[in-house]
Formats: sequence, structure tokens, C-alpha cells
Amino acid sequence: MWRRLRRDRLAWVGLLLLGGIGAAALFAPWLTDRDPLETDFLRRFEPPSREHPLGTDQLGRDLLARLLYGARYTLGAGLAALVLILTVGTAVGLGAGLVGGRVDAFLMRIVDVLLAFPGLILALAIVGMLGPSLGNVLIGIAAVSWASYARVVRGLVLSLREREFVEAARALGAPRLWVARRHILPHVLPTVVVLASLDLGNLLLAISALSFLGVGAQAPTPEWGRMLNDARAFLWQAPHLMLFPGLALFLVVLACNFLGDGLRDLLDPHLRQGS
Amino acid sequence: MLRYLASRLVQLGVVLFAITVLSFALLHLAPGDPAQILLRNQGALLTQTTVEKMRAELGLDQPLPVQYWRWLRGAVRLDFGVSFRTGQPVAELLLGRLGATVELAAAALVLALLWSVPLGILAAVYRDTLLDHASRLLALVGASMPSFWLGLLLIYAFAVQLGWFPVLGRGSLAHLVLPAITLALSLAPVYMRLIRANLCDALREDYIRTARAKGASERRVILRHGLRTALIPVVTLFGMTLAHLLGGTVVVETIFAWPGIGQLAVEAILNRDFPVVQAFVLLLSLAFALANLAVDLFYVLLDPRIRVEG
Amino acid sequence: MATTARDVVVRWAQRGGRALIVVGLGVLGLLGALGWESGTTAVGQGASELVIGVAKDQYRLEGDAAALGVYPLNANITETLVRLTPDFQIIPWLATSWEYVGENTWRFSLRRGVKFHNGDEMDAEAVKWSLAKQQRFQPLFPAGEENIRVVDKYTIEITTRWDFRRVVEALTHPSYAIYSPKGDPGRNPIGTGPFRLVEYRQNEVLVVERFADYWNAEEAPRVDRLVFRFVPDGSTRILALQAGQVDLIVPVPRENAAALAQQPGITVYQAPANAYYALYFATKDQVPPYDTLTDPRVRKAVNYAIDRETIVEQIYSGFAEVAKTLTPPAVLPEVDAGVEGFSFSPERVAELLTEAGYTRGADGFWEKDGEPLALTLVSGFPPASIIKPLPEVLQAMLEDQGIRVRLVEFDDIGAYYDYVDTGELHMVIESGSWNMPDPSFIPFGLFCSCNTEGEAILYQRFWINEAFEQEVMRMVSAEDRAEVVEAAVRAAQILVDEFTGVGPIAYIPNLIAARDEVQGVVVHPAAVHQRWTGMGK
Repeated sequence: MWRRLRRDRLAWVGLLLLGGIGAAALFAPWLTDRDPLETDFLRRFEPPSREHPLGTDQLGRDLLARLLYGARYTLGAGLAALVLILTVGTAVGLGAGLVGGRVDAFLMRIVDVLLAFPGLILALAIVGMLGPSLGNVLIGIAAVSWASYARVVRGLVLSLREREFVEAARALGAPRLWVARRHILPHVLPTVVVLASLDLGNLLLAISALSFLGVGAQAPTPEWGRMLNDARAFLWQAPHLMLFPGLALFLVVLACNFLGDGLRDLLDPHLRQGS
Repeated sequence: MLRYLASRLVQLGVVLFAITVLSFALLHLAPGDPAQILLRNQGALLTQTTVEKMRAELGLDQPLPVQYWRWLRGAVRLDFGVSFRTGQPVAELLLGRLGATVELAAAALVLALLWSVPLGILAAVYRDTLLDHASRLLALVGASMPSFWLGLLLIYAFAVQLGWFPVLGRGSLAHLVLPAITLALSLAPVYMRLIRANLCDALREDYIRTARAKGASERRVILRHGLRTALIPVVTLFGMTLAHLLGGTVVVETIFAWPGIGQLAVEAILNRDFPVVQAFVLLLSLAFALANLAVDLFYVLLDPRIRVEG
Repeated sequence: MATTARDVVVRWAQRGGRALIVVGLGVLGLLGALGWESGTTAVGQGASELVIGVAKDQYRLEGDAAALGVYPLNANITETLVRLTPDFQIIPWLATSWEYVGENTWRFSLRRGVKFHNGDEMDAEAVKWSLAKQQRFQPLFPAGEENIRVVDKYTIEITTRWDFRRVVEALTHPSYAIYSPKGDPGRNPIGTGPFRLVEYRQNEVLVVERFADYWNAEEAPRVDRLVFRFVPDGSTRILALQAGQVDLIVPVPRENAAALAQQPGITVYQAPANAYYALYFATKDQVPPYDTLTDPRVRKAVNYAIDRETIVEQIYSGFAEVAKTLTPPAVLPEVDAGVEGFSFSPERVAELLTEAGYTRGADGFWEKDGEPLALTLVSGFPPASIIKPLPEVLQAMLEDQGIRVRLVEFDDIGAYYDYVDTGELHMVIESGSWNMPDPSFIPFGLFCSCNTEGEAILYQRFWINEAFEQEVMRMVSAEDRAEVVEAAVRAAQILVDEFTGVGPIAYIPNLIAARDEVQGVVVHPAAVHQRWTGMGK
């Protein structure tokens, strides 16, 4: 399995890129000595210079520092959303698959309803109701994104239930929850984690889109989507304000997608068959 | 087949009921009293009297099931009440914006297909060659591009620097170009990959080989067998497109000040213009549910391989 | 095998490609037929027009609130009985004269021979109909429909329910536009103005053209048509102006004004400031932890922490003035002159906060009983996308003085008010505009509970005190101009210097940016009163 991943150069590029950006976020204080929040009203809209490698923004803040510290918010939010979605999706999927019957039917109808709707709009509606904040954006996105995982997990559980070792355990009179924890979860989790990481790029895009629409991170948080929204007002005066955060976001999502694409091929060897 | 249809319809009914309840609940789940929101939007002063009067006027003093029933009865006749913001009937507001969105979505769809179909086919034909890898790379790059950033880049390059296209709103064909390209670029990668995958599968199908082996003419093979199979991605495309398109239009319409449904939805959500949000959620989910049903039925009709399970 | 497969697909692709092109052309053709027959550029031969880029379409189209082409964007379709000039004087307009006849009653004599766009003559019935519409919706003086009486064809009387004396000032407001009752203010407004409505497409465009029978030859329009294009996003509006897609834009995003003024071929015009940006401090009914500002010393400390000169010079590059109170000199010079106001003083901040029991922590931030001094600042009126970057600037300035600020921004006014109602805030940053020449207008509307005739207003968080309210009532009820001015000055002193219920930041002028070929641009200080008749190219 790893051997094949190693062969996939794009996946490696993605992994390195993502690792690099993650490290940059983590070690931001060592990479710049500027404070991402420190304003200097006399030096607004400065183009890139030695002092400010990416220039300054509309309040005279160092753009590079904002991008580096902002990576923490952007990546952190993406990972947090991922964990939330996985938790809810796996729990519901396990519940539906194991309990079955009416509970299953009920849960799956909810999933149907959620899947029958463009996620970004529903997430926006939820955040609109809860009020603008990055936390609420995560809730909104998680609330609409868990459905597809629940469905996948349920499917996996149903197929596992028929497998011999599970049937054996149940025949021996093991309690249902024990079976779930001991035999089903360990088989379900890796698949779902890989599936979810395929989605990380899309999650990041969705979070930034909501911030861009003005309901996400609040000032002065250097979240990239919000920085892009702020930059819009100065598009013709200072295009670098729009260029760099967008580029950063693009690279992170690209890295996620490179990696995800490689992982997808691993999960689905059928696509590679026959060639 | 009939049994399948019946079970799908029952399923649809359940989903629809849930959707109406959800749409209705939106108004009541949200914090804030709709009567007060409406009064605020009218610029009226809030006092106990005016608020209570407005609550009665909106029927908010009735029990919830009564309110739901009233709302549903109206909704069936496309009467969703009036916008809190403009006072216009909601249906009129939505219809007024629909044209712009259809225009943008159709243009984007055509552009996306013009780009993705040839590339998808080439990638399938020349599988695992440099061309296939390049197209995969292209698809990944396209899928990673934040559309709001792409929109800004296009505006900056073609409207600000080069001055080729107008920057604002809707009007001539030139106004459509940049928003349509932005939306198309986010759709095309999905299509390209889908077409490639489907065509790869179709080419391996036994019945095409069989048909060919039996000495059927090339044209007959394509018409009778290949085309039929290849129609499926097109249908799937349509089903998937709706979700992607509508999600995409929200952002693209906001950037380009395109007066469509997506922009209306964003505004209504940010405005807490609940009657508009309710109607939007309801109609959209309905369109989705129906489109998905249609896609499933087409599958059954088109593809002899798909087995209908009860 | 492989070659034949490729063969199949290539042919399939050829067929498919051709089909696709046909379909594509078909769709494009259909779109062409559907969408573009109504382009707004189709102007008659030799007709002159001005294309004006304006903010978001905010017209209400239904009910008594309807004011298409009238409010808030005034396309000069309608006019009022009395008019507010750019130098803030009230002059006779559709009414030629008026007098106070005692017992809270005013009598207006109407101008004769004024034609509506449908050819009918304007008369007292039309005036009554128009004023009653506004009184049902949102009265700016306390009188109901029944208090407006037709005396004869050219005379009308208005009686207020109590001694409210600012009726004439209120009647300058475009909401008191005079319509023909035969029209519909939401779909087909028929007024007496120099322009009449030709076309309206919601959120896209409003087109008006010269009204040939306009009563006032001196104010006849210089152009045949005005095309108002709605461009919600400020930077897009600027781009459109630079590209020549519009001749003129209003409003101009304030933070871009200086850079725009330097562009060749573009001029930024400004009127004397008639609006302001200010903080309002929530002091009434606040519960912990949102009651920090009930201590007047902290309110004053916040005021001393703001460097208004830097905001005016660096953020607005001179397109604003330092504010001492909420009434810019152009509205009533005595008020600004009579108020002491606040200037930037880190020393005073430290003194006041120390006095209030705060100590400076190791991180440089103030704290009391182990709790940091942290204030929640809410912005949303005007929407965040318009007022920014000011809230962030204030946040940075307060944090520089050791006061932590949490910012909550809304890009919508309704959502903003919903949040303010929750009380989870310490202060808001708002803008206010003097659309009427009445010095009681803003204090009365924002900081008083006196305007509901006895019933309490819900969620009033920015109430000042009894003394303030008394001064405001004096402003409202005084007949003598000198007394009005005196009360206005006194009220402002309470509002700013004594109680300190607000933190005035800047006086802001209304801005118009136009391409150099546009001539005759006169900016009205209050945007809702803007006249377009003198402009042409």
C-alpha cells in the first residue's frame, strides 16, 4: 500500500506542501518577528519590500505575518471541522447500522434530506441564524457535511455485520456495544478517516468561502477568507492584498487534493485494474 | 419497475414532508422575534403594542401546528408571504431573480462542457499517458481554486488592467463572460473526471466487445451501445450539477454583483428575511429531490445493467 | 483491441463534440433572445444621459413604506412641500408659504399650476393623500391621518397631537414626497419632479427621463435621461467609474476617496459634513459582564483612547473631520462650538482607569479583580462592508491603550439590531446622518424614550438621563429659534461632556466621484436630498 503511495509523485508533492505549510503555521514566531495584529497607520498599502516581504495591509499590518499566523486559523478550522464531522458521521452511521429497523430508517431519511441540499447554502443559513463567528462556521459546515459519512459508515457496518468474525462474536453472546467497539469500529475508522481527508480541501474552501461572505472569522483574526474579503475593497489600489492570501489558500487546498487523489487510488484499486 | 417507482415516490413524500417542516422551522429556530425583525425593517419603533400587533398580524400568536398548516397551504399555492425587507411577495422576488441565475448557470454549463468533454474523452482514450496525467493535474488545480479568489483575479486582470470586460452587474453578453468563466472553471474539473471514468468503464464493457465481435458496424456499436452507456454520465452530470451550480452561484453572484437567486439567498440569510429563506430552502430542496428522482429513473431506463431492487 | 477502442471513442468524441457545439450555440442564441433585448444603452438619437453608479437597491415597493425612486435613493421623481437646500436652509417649494396658526396647527399654501407627470394638477387632496401615507408608516411628527385637513384646493392644515414644533423641518424629508394618488408609490410613482420614471429592474437599474412640463424652468434638467445602476460593492463601483461604464458614483467608499481623487480624469466632490461616526455606550439595563460601561470613568477613558486626528488624516485622508459631538458645524455651528469633546490622551486614559479601580497587568492590559478590561464592540449600521475598516482601527487604538476589544460585525442592519437587542455588548459604532435641519432629530430618535407618547420603547440601551431628555423636549417644543439652539447646545454638553453616552469619532461629508466630462456637480450634504438637475456633460 505504501509502496504505491510512494510511486504517486503528486501525492508526495501534496504531502510535502501540506507539511511545509503546517510547519510554517506552527513555527510562525520563528519565521517572522512581526506581530500579525500590530497596526501602523502611517504605512498602509505598502508593496512588498525587504522590511515587509509581502507588503502591508489596509491597517499597515505585515501581510506575511498575517498569512503565517492565519494558517493556524485556516488549517486549525479545517481539522476541527473534520473531527466534528467524523465524530457525528461515525456515531450516526454506527447507530443506524447496528440498531437497524426504524431508527435506521429515520436516521437515513435525515441523511437524505441533508444530502438533497446544496451544503454551502444550508451552512450559510445555519451560521446566519447562529451569528457570525469562526466557531459557528464550523458548526454550520459540520451540520451539513456529516450526512455522507453517516451513510458510508452505515454501509460498512452492514457489510461487516455479515462477516464471520462479527457473527461469531455475536453468537458467543457478546454485547452489542462491545462488538461495535471491538470489531466494527476498528474496521470502519481507517476507511472513514481516509475518505474524510479526501474532503479536507473542500472543507477548507467552504470555511473560507463563508468567511469571505462575511459570516466567519471576526476582525482582527488573520483568517485567509476574511483577509480576501477585506482585500476586495482595495482591489485596484493594492492588488497584493488579494493576491497572497488567495495564493496561500489555493496552495493548501491543492496540496490536500494532491494527497487526497493519491489516497483515493489506494482506496479504490478497482480504478487501476485492467491497465 | 412500478414497484420501484412506488417505493421511490413514498420515499420522496417522506423527504418532502421533512423538508417542509425544516423550512417552516427555520423561522422559529432562529433567535429573534420575526415580528420585531419585520418592524425594524419597516423602521418602526418597537413598543409592546406595536410588537403584539405585528405578532397577531403575522399569525405568530397561533399554536405552531396551526401556523405550519397555514404556511403549508400558502406554500402549495406558491404564496410564501411577503419579504420582510422589501414587502414584495416572495414568489415574485424569487421569480424576478431566477432569470439571471439560469442565464449564468446555463452559460457556465456550456463553457464547462466545451472544455471538459473533449479533455475527459482524450484522457480516457489516452489513458495513463502524459496527456491523461496532465488532465488529471489540470482537474486538481481547477478543483483547488477558490472561486472567490479566481473571480477577483479575473476582475483584476480583465476588467481593471485590460479593461476588456465590464466589472459590474448584468446587461450585455460581455457582462456574462467573467462570472460564467469563474463558475465554469469550478465545474469543469468535476465533469472531466466523471466523463473520463465513465468512458474508461464503458470501453471495457463486454457487450460493446461482443457487439463488435459479432461484426456490427462501428456506427451501430456507437449508436446502440456506446451512446446509451455514455448518456449516463450526462444524466449524472445534470443531477450533480444542480448542487454544485447552486453552491457556486452563491459565491460567484456575490463577487460579480450578479442579481440572481444565489445573491438573493445570501442577502436574505444575512438580512434574516425569513419568508424568502423559507421559500428558497423549500423550492431548492424540492428541485433537488425531484432531480434526483429523475436521475434515478433515467438510470433504470437507460442502463440495462442496473438491477432494480424492490 | 486498444486501437479499435480508441477509434470508437474518437468518433464518439467527434460526434459528441459536434452535437455539443450545436447545443452550445443553441443555448447561447436562446440566451441572447431572452436576456439582452432590454439593454439599457438603447438611447434615442441625440439624447443625453448620465449613468450613475449607486449602492444597493433598498427600495420598498409595497404598502405605505413604498418609495420607489424616492427614498433612500432620490431620483428627483417627486418633491416635497418645503425643500432643504445644500446650505441647509429651508425654502418654499411645492408650498409657497406657511404659518403657525396656534393650537399646534400649521397652515400651508400650495403652489398653483404644478403638474404631476400624468398631467393632473397638484392639489390639497394629493398632498393630504401623500402625507397620510407617511404618517401611517413612520411619522416624523406626532400627527395621524385625521390631523391633516384639506382647507381648500390650495390650502392644507396639519395639527400635531402635542406641542411638537419641528413640523416644517420634518416636511423637508423625502419621505414626505408629494405623489399623485392615481399612481402607486411602489410600482409607478407619479410625482411633480423634474424627472419621471421610465424603467425599473430590481437590483439592476432605475431609469428616469426629463419631465417636459416641469413647473420650475430654472431647475430644468440638463440631461434627458438619468440611468441609476445598482452596484452594491463599493470597489466595483469605483472600477466601473474608472472604466467609464458609469459617469458618476455615489456614495464613494470613504477609505478609497483620496486614492480615487488622484486618478487622472476623475474628480471627487464633497459637501460640508452632515453625518458622523460615533460610538454609543450601552448603559441601560446592562447585566454583567456587559455592564462595564455603566461606570462613566471607563466611558471617558474610551473616549480619550481614540486618536481622532490619525483616523481623519490617515484612514480617511482628509475626507472627514475630527468630531466633538454628533452635530457637525454645517448643521448647527453653535453645538460643536459649545461642546468640549475629547482629544487623544493616554495619560487621561491611565488616570481614569486607575481611578475606576483598574490596574495594568504584566501584558499591558488593564484588569480589575483578576478580570481583564474587555469590551465588545458591535458594528452593523451602516453594514460592516461599508463602515470598515473603522471598527478594526478603533479596536487597534483601544488595545494600544490596554483595553481589550472583541469585535462583532454584521453586514446587515436587521441582523445587527437583533444582536444589539440581546444586550451582549458594551458599545456600538454607528453612523448618523442629519437628513432634516432639526437639531432634535437625532437625539430624539436615538437617545430618548420620549417619542412614543407614553409607551416605553423596547430594548433601549443608549438612553442618557432625565436632564438630557428635558433638553431634547425643549428643542422639540420651543417656538423661538434661540431657545432651540440653546437647548441643543445644552443637550450635547450632557450627551458628550457630562454623561458621556457617546464617543464621537469623525464628521463625514457626503462624497460624489465623477469623470471630468461631467459638469455642474453639486453635492448635497444629505444624500437623500441630492438634486441631479444641474448635472450634465
